[in-house]
Amino acid sequence: MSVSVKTFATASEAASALSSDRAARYFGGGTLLMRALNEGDTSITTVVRATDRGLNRIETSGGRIVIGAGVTFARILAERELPFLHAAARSIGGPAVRNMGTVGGNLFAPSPFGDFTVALLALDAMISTQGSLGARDIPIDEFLQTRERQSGTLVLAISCIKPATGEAFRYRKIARIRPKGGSLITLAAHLPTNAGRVTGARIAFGSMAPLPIRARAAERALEGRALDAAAIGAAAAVIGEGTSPPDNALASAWYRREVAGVHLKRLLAGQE
Amino acid sequence: MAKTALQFRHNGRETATFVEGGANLLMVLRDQIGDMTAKFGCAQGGCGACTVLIDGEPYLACLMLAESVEGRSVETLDGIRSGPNLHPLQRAFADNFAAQCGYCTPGMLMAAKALLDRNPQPSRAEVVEAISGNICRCTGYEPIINAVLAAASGGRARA
Amino acid sequence: MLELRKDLFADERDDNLKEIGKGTQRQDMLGHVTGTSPYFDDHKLQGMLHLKVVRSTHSHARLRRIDTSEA
Repeated sequence: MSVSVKTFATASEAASALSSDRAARYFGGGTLLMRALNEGDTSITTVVRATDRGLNRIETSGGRIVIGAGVTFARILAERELPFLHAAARSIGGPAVRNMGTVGGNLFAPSPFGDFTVALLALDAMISTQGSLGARDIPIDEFLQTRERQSGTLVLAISCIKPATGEAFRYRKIARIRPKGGSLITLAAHLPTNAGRVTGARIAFGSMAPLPIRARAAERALEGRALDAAAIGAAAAVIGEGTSPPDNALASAWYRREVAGVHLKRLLAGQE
Repeated sequence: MAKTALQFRHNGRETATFVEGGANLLMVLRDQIGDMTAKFGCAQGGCGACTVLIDGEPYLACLMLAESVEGRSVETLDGIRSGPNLHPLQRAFADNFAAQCGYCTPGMLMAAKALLDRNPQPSRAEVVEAISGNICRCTGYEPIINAVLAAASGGRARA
Repeated sequence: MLELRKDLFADERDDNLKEIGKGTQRQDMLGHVTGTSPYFDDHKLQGMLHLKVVRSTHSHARLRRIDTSEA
């Protein structure tokens, strides 16, 4: 069964081709799409590619970072201006997968994958898209919730917070095959502080629900407090709220609920 | 069935073939070119048995759209020797018991070659990172890591 | 009394039973490091049939009918 491969010079032509054909899928790095084709997914008859270099740009000079959807994890790791994203990029696949997988594609990776997306969720990412209704910037929370309906939309770029200090952004992936493999639980936290107190924390989880989600109860527990043992304990106590962890070969839902607080404490305490 | 012409350098040799739309590089290498050294493990990108070098960098052939290697250099284990003698990595694997069933070996060797070509004196941690995308069920990885380090240090075998 | 059939193993090893202490490579090692060890999938024959297993998605289900039209 063969598909038709169409390559366009510009992102907007690719977006048109994508949104006008329900059986078309965009080819980013191929790590999700080729897997589906290899498994004989007959719902895909056209593969759309774009050589538009705008999809591979990285802008670090502004207040927010902008990363083109086609940027690979290998490129993130090579980018000295993005040290806070290195832990997340390194936790994905091995060197070969990192040469292929893209930041845009990871937004669609199903649980237990999608670890970079967890980091972006904690960094208040905005997703720039082009679909049948034109260009739109969508907050990542909303994008994730509607992603099943987004396969006809082209992701152009992702923008996110540039943390003020190295300490302000933390990332941790717990996996059985380290550092890669499906995640047992992935945690990312942006913890901006003002006069020693946490304000506007964003804590994101992977593998604690069908999609990456925010740990809003834990965020509220930290608000206005210094990041001390008491605050960390309060956040860990409510970590399970709003989660519906999966049962899969990596771990049971029970296990995930048991260890979520432990890993959050280690993340917030800055432990290894 | 739409077929696209594809030309690329396969282990230094200019090669041309026709590929079906959506064909992956692993299928083209094995079924059309006849290069069996890249192995079929999972077709999902999880095992690394299909690791090949494209323009010197490691990629998973099972997830590569064959036509994306147009005009590029593709290296498989079949081309690792530059003469009658084994490549130092091959000799080091043989001397250090770095293969048992041998199925992961081509992928491991290509991942190791990508590392040593770029970083001739890697640390142990760098070797582990370089093969972190390759699964081995037999050796427990230690002999493989030792073999790569031995190849890097001039091929002196370790017990 | 065990009979040592040396004639059967003559080409496989040095049969003086003094293997201990000698560094030895696996017989198949050269094939492994050159990628030429012939695994099952490496044999391509003329007129091969290919099969794909299709499994039921329901456990303990009763198979009523198999639709082979796509196949």
